Amino acid sequence: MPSCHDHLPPVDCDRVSAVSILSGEHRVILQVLAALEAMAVRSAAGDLPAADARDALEVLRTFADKCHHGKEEDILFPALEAQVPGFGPTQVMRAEHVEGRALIRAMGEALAAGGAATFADAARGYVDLLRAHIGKEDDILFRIAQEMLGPEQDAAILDAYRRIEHDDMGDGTHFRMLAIADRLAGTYGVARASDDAQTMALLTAVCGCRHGANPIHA
Amino acid sequence: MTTTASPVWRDQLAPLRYLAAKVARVHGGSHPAMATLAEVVATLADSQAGDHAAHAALGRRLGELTGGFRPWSGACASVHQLFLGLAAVAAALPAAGAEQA
Repeated sequence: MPSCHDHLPPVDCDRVSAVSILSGEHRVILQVLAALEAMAVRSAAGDLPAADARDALEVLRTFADKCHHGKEEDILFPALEAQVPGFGPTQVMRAEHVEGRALIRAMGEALAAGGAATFADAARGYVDLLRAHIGKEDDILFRIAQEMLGPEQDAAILDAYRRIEHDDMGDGTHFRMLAIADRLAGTYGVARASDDAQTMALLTAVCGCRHGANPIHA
Repeated sequence: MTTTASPVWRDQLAPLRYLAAKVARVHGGSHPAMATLAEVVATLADSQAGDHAAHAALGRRLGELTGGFRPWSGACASVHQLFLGLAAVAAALPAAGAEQA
C-alpha cells in the first residue's frame, strides 16, 4: 500500500470521531497483542498458558473482530466506498481481516488440542499481521477517512457504532472485554491503554443511553 | 508476571472502572460526586491485594458518594448499571481485618 499520505494530519484523538474511536480501540488491541506475544514465547518453550490464551482469544474474537472489525467492515468502510467505488485501501484491510480470522481459528484449534508449538506459531503470525494492519489503518487509511467524512456522515457512523456496541454486542460486553484485556496486561507486564486519559475517553465515548439524539458523550 | 487468582470483587469491579469513567464524563458537570466516584473506583481497582482496611474504607466511600447506591431521580441506565455493580462490589469486600478469602 502506498505511504504517500504523510502530508495528511494524523488521526485527531482529542476529538471523538468515527476514526478516533477506532484508533482508541487499536491501542487496546495492541495491548492484547503484547500479552499474546508473551504467551507465544511461553508456548514456544512448551508451556502453553491455556486459561490466559482462552481469555485472549475471547477478546480477539469479540472485541477485536466482532465489534471493532464489525464497525470497520459494516459501517466505516462502506461509507468510504460509497464515495470512492472500488476504494483500494478498504479492500486490502478486508482481506487482512480474513487472514486474521484464519489465524484466530488456528490458535483456537491449537489450544483445544494442547498444541503449544502450533499455538505459538499462529499467535506470532497473528501478532505480526495485526500490528502491521493497525499501523496501516492509523497511519494511512484513517487519515484519509478523516478528510473524507463530513460532520453529518461522522455523526451517522457514530450512531451506528452505538448500535453495534450496545444492541448487537449487548450492554456491558464492551467494558467486560476491556477488563479482560486489562487483566492480561497485568499478568504479562504490559502497559494498560486506558491509563492514557485520551484513550480512556475514546473507549468510553459511545454510550447506549439515549441522552437526547447524541449517542456520543465527548 | 503475576498469576495469583483475584477475589471475586476485583473481577466485578474491573469493567466498572470504565463505566464509572463514562458516567463521570457525562454526568460529572451536574453531579460532581461522579468524578470523585470514578477516582475511588480506579483506586480500588488498582489497590494492593490483602489491604483489607483500605478496601473497606474505599467500599464505604463508594456508598457515601452514591447515596447508598441509590441513583438520583431520572438517572440513565448507565448510572443504574454502575450503582448496582458497585453495590455488589461493596457487599463482596472483606471487612477490615478479615482474613482474605
